[in-house]
Amino acid sequence: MTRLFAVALLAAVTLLAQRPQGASGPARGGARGGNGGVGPYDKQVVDAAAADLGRTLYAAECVDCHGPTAHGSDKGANLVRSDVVLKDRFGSQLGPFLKKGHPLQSKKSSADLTSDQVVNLSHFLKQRVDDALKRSPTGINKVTGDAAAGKAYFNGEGKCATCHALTEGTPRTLFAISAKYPDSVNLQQALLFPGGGGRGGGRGGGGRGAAGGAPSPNAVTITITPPDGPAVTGDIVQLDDFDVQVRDADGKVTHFTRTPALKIVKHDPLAAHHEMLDHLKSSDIHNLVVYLETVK
Amino acid sequence: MIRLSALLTTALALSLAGAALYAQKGPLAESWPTYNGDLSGRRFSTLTKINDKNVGSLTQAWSFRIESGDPGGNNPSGTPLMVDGVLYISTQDHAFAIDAHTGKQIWHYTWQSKGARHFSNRGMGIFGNFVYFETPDCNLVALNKKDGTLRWAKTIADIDQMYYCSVAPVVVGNHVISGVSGDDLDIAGYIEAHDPETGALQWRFYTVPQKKGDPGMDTWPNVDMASHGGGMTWQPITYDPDTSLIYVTTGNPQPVIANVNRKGDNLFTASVVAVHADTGKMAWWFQTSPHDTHDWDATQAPVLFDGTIAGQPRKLLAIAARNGHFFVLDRVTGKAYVHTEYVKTNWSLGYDAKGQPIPNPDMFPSIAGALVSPNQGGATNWYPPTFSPQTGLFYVSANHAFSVYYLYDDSDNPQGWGGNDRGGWSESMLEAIDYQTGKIKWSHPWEGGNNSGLLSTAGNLIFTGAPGSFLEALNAATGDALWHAKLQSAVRVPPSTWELDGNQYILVGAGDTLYAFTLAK
Repeated sequence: MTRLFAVALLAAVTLLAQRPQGASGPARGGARGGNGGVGPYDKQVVDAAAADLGRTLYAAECVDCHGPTAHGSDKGANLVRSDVVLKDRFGSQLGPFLKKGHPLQSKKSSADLTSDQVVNLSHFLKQRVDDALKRSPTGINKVTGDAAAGKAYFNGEGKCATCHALTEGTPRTLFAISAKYPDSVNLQQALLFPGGGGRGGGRGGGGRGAAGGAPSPNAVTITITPPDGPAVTGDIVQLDDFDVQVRDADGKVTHFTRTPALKIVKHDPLAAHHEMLDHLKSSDIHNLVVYLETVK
Repeated sequence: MIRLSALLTTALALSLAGAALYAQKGPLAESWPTYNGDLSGRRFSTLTKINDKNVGSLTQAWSFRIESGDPGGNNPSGTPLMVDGVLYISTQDHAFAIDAHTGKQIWHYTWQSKGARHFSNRGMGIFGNFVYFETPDCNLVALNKKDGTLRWAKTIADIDQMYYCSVAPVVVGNHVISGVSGDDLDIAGYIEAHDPETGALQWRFYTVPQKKGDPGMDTWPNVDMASHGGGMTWQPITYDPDTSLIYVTTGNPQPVIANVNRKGDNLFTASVVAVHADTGKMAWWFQTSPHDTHDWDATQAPVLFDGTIAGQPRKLLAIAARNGHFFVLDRVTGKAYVHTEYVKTNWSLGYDAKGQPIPNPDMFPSIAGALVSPNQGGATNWYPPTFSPQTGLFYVSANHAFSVYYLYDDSDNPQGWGGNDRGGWSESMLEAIDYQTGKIKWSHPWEGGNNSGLLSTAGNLIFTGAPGSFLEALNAATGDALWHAKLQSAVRVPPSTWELDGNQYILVGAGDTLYAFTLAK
């Protein structure tokens, strides 16, 4: 192997093995043991400095067969799924395995690797396993599309222009929105789900809640019309299958028992956004994002 | 229209020397001996003392707060068993026996864990003098039900490979059926049968091919991908003693989101699989999500009942899958009689000749993001549905949900997840589905997100958790809300019912507390 090629491979291993990790994805429980509790309590905690040394050794002796991320190739096994690696603790399995003799790129004997080298290699491979366990963004996501098609959608089928202007200072303007959301993925999320919501966000979300608090322009309000009394409009304090409580503009809370005769009308400022989800194509939102990035 | 299932009465003929087959007595009334009540998965009780006329008089009889001494061990999610006046419930690393008359603890067992993901525990199984549960570090534990002392424990999966274990064991004949969980790393799903007395392994059934020539191998690019292809078994099985078949639902393929290195349908992930109880051999399969790319496992309850399709009596299996599609299958052959959406979705291009959805490649996760419905949480999830032979309706907690699926690993050999979904909006409802047509008979919208297991009774009632931390009862025929009670948090332990000393009880759990309700005196 030429020195130049070796340096290039080390760079590739470094690049592929160290993609930036962004905000964590949805947590799914877990407690002790790191990585959300995945694996046994006595699992090896990676020493980053040792893993760096292991990376150098890996690039020199292993990468040709096992690949830059240790996910394997036609010539070598996937080490992230390897039982030897998964059961290893600081070389406890890897050392005896290599002692038996395993092909190295340098043609040297793997049995001659020092204990420190084996431990370093163990840390590097454990780091690759940890990377495989992650569910978080890696920095590769970017929304791409056709700005002209996005403009046509904005003014036509999408009916965006019926509520949103693109001039500075107008209500609900989307002028220069990419300055607020410079990351195209964040902009896409903001356009699709302006009220947030997330998993199980449910109907009627976005109000001020029972305790009041700062008014939200996206708050859902309701108008309650009892069969024998005046209508009341206000914020939702309680709304379930049996009880309705509404806080009017003066702060007065009115209680109702929910019956078929009680007329309930919700006013959801984001209703149009929710309804369009059933019809929106991914390409529409991609084009829209790219178009709005041009409106500055 | 409905011929009441012969599942349970047939099972009376089964016998095993010196051991009571609690789950195979029936119909459900004075006990609740499996996760789903009986082996059919219907979660339907014949009890009528609490009914649509008097449910408004329900009042709390007792509550029991779980204090395991371990912050992670106080919140159950599995339905407690109730046999001979004693409730058996497990949490992560803990099991409890509780007097069903009073809500007082009888014993508490603690497992010394070696780790693994502590995500959930779905409950226990029972056989003769023993109760069984799985621990997060993947041991199948048998306890003496009288005093909670350890009878035996068997390791059922390797936590170094990132398995964890959570499913409620189910006893079928002389087999304790266990399952495995985990989708952090690319590993294979399986179920095992163990001897109830000794814990000895009887057989193991892998849900993905392990070698060349195995069934389904032609739906994977190679043996390495297939044998690490996922298909976790984290839903309790159901069983038909008439056919001696166990019905297993399987998890998503691996890698979960990135999928370039697992082209093909990826059998037998995201599937319903029928397995012979005595041999562990597969009888038939039906894939609810061929080549899934959205974490839509099929690990929802496969519900067994007998009914009529096109004028012919049929042995049926119904499942409302996480991907938003509802299927009614012939449980003898696997043939699909009904396939339809139970909520609006956007990810498929119709159905293939077998009745399985055809995934739309445009909806696969991508660098720029794919707007997909349902979201990763699914149109439904682990929380159990119910089927009432009285109404002929299949009830499911449903979500109409959206999120954007992003690819985080665009390499040619991704591992683990390689992507995820983000953001979203959803609305929740309780749906009643006509099993013969798949049409929605009624839909009860919720004023907030709701993910609750269900119970139906011959008293024309459906019990469910409801938004706002309520336990709620609805009219099974119409969906009208009839009663509710406020709990300390959202329902997590699905409602169940049983009769004790002449009184019918409704049991439910929320947070760290179990609540028993009965009619006011």
